[in-house]
Amino acid sequence: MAADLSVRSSLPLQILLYLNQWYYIFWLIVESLSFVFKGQTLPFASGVLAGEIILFIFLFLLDMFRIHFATKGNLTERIIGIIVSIVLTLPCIGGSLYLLLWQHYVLRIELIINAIQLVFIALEVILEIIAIIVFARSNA
Amino acid sequence: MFCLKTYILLIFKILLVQYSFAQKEKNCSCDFTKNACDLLCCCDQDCSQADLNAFNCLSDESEITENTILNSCIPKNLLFSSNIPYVIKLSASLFCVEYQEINLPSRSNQYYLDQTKLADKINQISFNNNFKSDFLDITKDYFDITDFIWTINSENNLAYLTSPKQNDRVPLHFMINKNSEYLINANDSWDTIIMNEISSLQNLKVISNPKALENCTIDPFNTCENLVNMNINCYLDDTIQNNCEDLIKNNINKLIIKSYEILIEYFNPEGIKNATVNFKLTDKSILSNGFFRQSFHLDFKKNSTSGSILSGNPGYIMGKPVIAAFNSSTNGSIFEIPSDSEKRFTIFSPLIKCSSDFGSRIQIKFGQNLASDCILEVENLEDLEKTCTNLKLKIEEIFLGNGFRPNYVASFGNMIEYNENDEWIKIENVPVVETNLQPCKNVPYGLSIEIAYAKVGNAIKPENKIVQVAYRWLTNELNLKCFEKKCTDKIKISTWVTFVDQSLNSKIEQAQIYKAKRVLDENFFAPFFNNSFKISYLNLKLYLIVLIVYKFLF
Repeated sequence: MAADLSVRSSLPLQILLYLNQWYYIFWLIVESLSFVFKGQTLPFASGVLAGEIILFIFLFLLDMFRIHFATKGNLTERIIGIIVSIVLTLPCIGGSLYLLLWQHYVLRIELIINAIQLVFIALEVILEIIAIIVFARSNA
Repeated sequence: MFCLKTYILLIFKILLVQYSFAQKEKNCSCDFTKNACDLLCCCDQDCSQADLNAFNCLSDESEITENTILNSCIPKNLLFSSNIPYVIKLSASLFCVEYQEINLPSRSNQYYLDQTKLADKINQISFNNNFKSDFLDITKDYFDITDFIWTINSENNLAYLTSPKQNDRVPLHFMINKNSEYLINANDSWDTIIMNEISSLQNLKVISNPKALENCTIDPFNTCENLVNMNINCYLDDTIQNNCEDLIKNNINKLIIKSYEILIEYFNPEGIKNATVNFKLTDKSILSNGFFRQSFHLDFKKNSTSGSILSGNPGYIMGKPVIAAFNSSTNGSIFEIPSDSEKRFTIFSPLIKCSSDFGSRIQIKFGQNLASDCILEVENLEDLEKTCTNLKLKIEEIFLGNGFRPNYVASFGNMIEYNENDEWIKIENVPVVETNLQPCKNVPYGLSIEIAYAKVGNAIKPENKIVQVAYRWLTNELNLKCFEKKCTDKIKISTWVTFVDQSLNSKIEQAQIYKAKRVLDENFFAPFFNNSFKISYLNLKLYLIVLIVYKFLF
């Protein structure tokens, strides 16, 4: 029986993850400059700014892990990597929503960059689910 | 990855470079006295380092006030939403947040810490060589605003001063003025308790600084030289009494305390130099319903302070006296300003019988509307015209006082220090009495002093400026009750002081506030590398070290 050598990795997902990686560097710069601006010009209750910065750094690291697992899972055609990525998506959505809606001051630029980030996450989740279905079928 | 590394390096650079968005204001708005240090004013150039230490001034702080409201603004279109507990003010183009910085955390801690122990008002302490106290920190070199005002009595009992109201006793703090008013029921036992306290203050001594008890070897400690006597003065209807203790003992159910004033003179870092308590007593019988207002004042004054007191710097502060002057010259260059601020701009007191005595007049304070009236008895003269002429002159004396009569008012509160002739506002309609024609017509019975002011300057921190002052006289024809050429009558005369805010709505322009935009034209790297930033050898070395570390790491 001949081995099935066809590539099942999702190209749209891979393109999206690649773009998301670069977008995330841009997001990091803009978001951190926003925090510098807000910290210098607006009052914060004690500990709130520090808490928001910690959340922002934690969210960046978490999202990088999410993208890393999704990339590896997609390229190696392993479901487990993509599942880990989907699990990590939930706190990432929560963090992005916090920065979009519930943080002390939401700047207009933050609204735009976090909304784009959420669109990226949503598209990636859809493509990841499709990828899982494709990989599961081929393994069956 | 390269971009990430560059970004980390940039952040590191930002942390290294010290910059400031906000420009420090050149004006020190809490500096009210010329050539003297103002209490709790950290930006006052006249304060010594010892004063600043005692005020607990922080390095980046220009002034400490109990209720300073601060404002932060950003352009409204930059912000999408906010979830903050602060007061938000929106203008046409700005989003501003009003907030209050609490600069004295240690003081508030101390206050709440000792609340539980307030019941032990007086703590017996055995004084010996191993003297220690949970409250009085004798290891400190000087008292500061976090400390209580400590006293010791003849029986070596240590206590700190508190406000007098029985059910609202709070400790008094060193160098923090306090003004309170309490509604007292004279028939209640509370006031009697305060009356008893007067005698307990008689033999009290104030501990001048934390080390004052250190070298005391005499027992009782009350006789120690380093302590300051508490001087007690009693005034009965504004007349000082010789023996305060006896007066109170003999009249404990007949007198009430209208006012209780503690005056403390200090000199940092030596501490308290002088302490005086003034009780103003009055007869209980004058009260109609048994209730009265009792005022309590604690005032700190720097020992040997001499300097003219300003009413604001530069704009007037609410409650500070309005500065007035007299100018007799036509060219308007010589202004006579009384050194005593209480004699500058006044109205008559609300008394049953009108008095032109200057001592009983009420000071006009910025922003405080006043009204006063009194009854004037017409003197019995046979000649009606002469009666009216004398009456007009007397009324004028009552309205304007028989001493200093100002005809100019300072537009800003600091005019004593920075005397600019252009900034004096002439009072309109000061001359009043025309005695020549028909003296019984147009007799003034009312004077309305209208003071118009406006908020000027920065929209975030406006300054109050007086723009117009006018006297409006109310006159009437005098019809005396005469009987066989003898006239007897009583006239009620009234005066009002009204402050009118004539501020126009502020027009906020973005360019006025965002100075960074102007800096950016000259310097692309502002605010990280602004004009005030100079590359020093130290900074260059730091950059080199960072670059070397960076090369090793990545």
